[in-house]
Amino acid sequence: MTSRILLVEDAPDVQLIVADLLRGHGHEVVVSSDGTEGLRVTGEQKFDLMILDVMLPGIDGFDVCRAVRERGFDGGILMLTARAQVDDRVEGLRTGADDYLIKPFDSKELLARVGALLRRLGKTPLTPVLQYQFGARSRWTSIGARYCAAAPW
Amino acid sequence: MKRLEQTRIEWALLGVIAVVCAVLSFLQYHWTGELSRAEPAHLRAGLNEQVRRLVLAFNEEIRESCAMLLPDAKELREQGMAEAHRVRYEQWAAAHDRSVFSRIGIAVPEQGALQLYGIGEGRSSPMEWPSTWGTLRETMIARVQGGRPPGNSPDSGTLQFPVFADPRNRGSEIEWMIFDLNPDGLRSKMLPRLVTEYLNPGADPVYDVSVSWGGPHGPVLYSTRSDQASVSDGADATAGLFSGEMGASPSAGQGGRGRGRFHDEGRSRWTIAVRHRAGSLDIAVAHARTRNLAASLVLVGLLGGTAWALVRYTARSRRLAEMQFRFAAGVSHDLRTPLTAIRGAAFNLVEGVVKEPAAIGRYAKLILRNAEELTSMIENVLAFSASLHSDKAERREVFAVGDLLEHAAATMAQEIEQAGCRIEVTVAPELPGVAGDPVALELVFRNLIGNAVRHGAGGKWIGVAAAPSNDGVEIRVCDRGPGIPETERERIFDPFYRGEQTRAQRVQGTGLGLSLVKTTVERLQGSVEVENSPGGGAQFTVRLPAAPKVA
Repeated sequence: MTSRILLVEDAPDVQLIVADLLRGHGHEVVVSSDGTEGLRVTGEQKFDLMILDVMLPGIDGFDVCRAVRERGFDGGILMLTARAQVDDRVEGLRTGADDYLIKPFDSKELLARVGALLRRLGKTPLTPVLQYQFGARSRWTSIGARYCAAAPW
Repeated sequence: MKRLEQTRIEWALLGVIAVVCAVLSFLQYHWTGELSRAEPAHLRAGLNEQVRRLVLAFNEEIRESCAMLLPDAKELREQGMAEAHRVRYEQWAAAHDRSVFSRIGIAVPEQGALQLYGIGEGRSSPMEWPSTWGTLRETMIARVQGGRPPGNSPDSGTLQFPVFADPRNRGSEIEWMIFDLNPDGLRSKMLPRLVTEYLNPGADPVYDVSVSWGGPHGPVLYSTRSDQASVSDGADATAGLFSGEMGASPSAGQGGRGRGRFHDEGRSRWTIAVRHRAGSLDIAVAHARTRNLAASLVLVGLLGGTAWALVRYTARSRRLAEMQFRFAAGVSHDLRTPLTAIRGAAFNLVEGVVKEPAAIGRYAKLILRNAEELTSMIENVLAFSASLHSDKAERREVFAVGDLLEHAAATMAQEIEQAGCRIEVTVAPELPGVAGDPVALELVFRNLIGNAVRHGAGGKWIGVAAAPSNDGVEIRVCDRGPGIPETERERIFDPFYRGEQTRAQRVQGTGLGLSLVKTTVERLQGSVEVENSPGGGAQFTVRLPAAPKVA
């Protein structure tokens, strides 16, 4: 099972590159170019992770983040920001983001953080041995998933 | 929000200052009003004292001269009449201005008649009675024949003093001395001197003074006014000047000098009137008050103006600081985005995330485009910071605008094409050359075309046209986009300013392009303006002066 990622990014080039990168690493990626559309898509489909740009036309990344958390979105949220100010990072985390990355970011770091977030939430693509799951979010599957993800086979 | 509050505080401060200024002005007006009511009385008292001293000095000088010229009975007896008078006259003339008297006579009773001698140059010689002394003569003859003592006719400038054989016996006259005051001499020397000394000591005369015969409305003897008019009307001070009591002997034999006979009250023959040059003391005080008020109003106005300017300049510098902050945030965002794309694309290529030739081609184009975007932004930022320190000599060469426009359009071709636009460059034949830095000017037109691409791409068309104008070249860059709202048209040339719509739509840019356009064009003595073209869309018009023809 692959993880589903929603990428909300308004710069088309960045969108293309991040999407290609994630797809190349086995994730299923849905892209969206602005906050309003991003919100709509989260209402229609299930995602394990959202990658959110902060400066978006329409509603900005913070507002999108707050809104999806209010709607009960329980996946991971990774914010991409061009702003390096501490205030912005704190604001992002406060509105419900799990992590952030400052543009221009290193693609390896993006992959690592995405991986870490998914693992923490128990949504790592599982190895074939324990591919079945017992319900969406049981304690057991989480532990099992973490264990299996770390297993060498 | 915070800014609004700050603005409110500033205006409140300004209001408080204005109110304080107004209250201060009112108080000042009120207090100077009180002062100016008390001031004229005070000034008038001072002036009266000055006039009194002038009158005393005048009378004293005349009296002293008369006393010096008047021999006593003993001298007359011992030296003889002619010699006694000669000695006296020479003593007097050595120390005094002779122009005070126009005529000095001695009337001596001889054989029942009065013989008159005139004194001049120390010699006394018989003379005819002048017609003006007629009354005098009659009274003296009456006195000699045992009548009443003669008095002076009150409106003349003549003084007569008897010389008594025995000072205690008023009736034992040996002779009379008669002095005619010289109006010309008084007018030209003595009175101006006294007026200057006692009334107008400063460089600028403060008072107008007139002396008239008899009462205040008599004929004018002397006036400081150029029209020689009397200032008795509305005078600030009036006094009798030339006492009629001088007719008694000022030197009656044994040390009888000035025995209280020298009064100026009652029978003054002349009247001195003094009036402030402004018209009267009250007017002068009122003028002073007005001047005072005007000065304080100017001061208060200055204070208010300063406060206002202070508030304005702080507001302006705050706005600039805000714009710079936005610029820093905006530029950092807009520089980071293409950099992110380039870096990510390179990573994907290196890691083999994309392998198909078509995708690789797309990546190459993407990298190129973003690199170009970065370059143009950095160019603008550098050009802007250079324009802030533009004392260094600029390149100046004559070039053809048409070629420059073609080149700029060619450079932008890819960006234009990607935005789905078509560019149309129309250059009129035989355009005059333009002098300036072609690199800077090309940046100007790249900025204008770039703006059209970014903001007006919806219109799918960009027009660039160059045509000769009356004294140079006129270049228009237009698009068919949404145009620029009227409210923003003035500010779009400000550095760091970015339109509302632009910011809402996340159109990339530094907010420096148009500011650069304006400074560059104006440095070349040109101008730039913006309007919305009739077909919708923005139209920028750049006017550049033609280069001077090289002979």
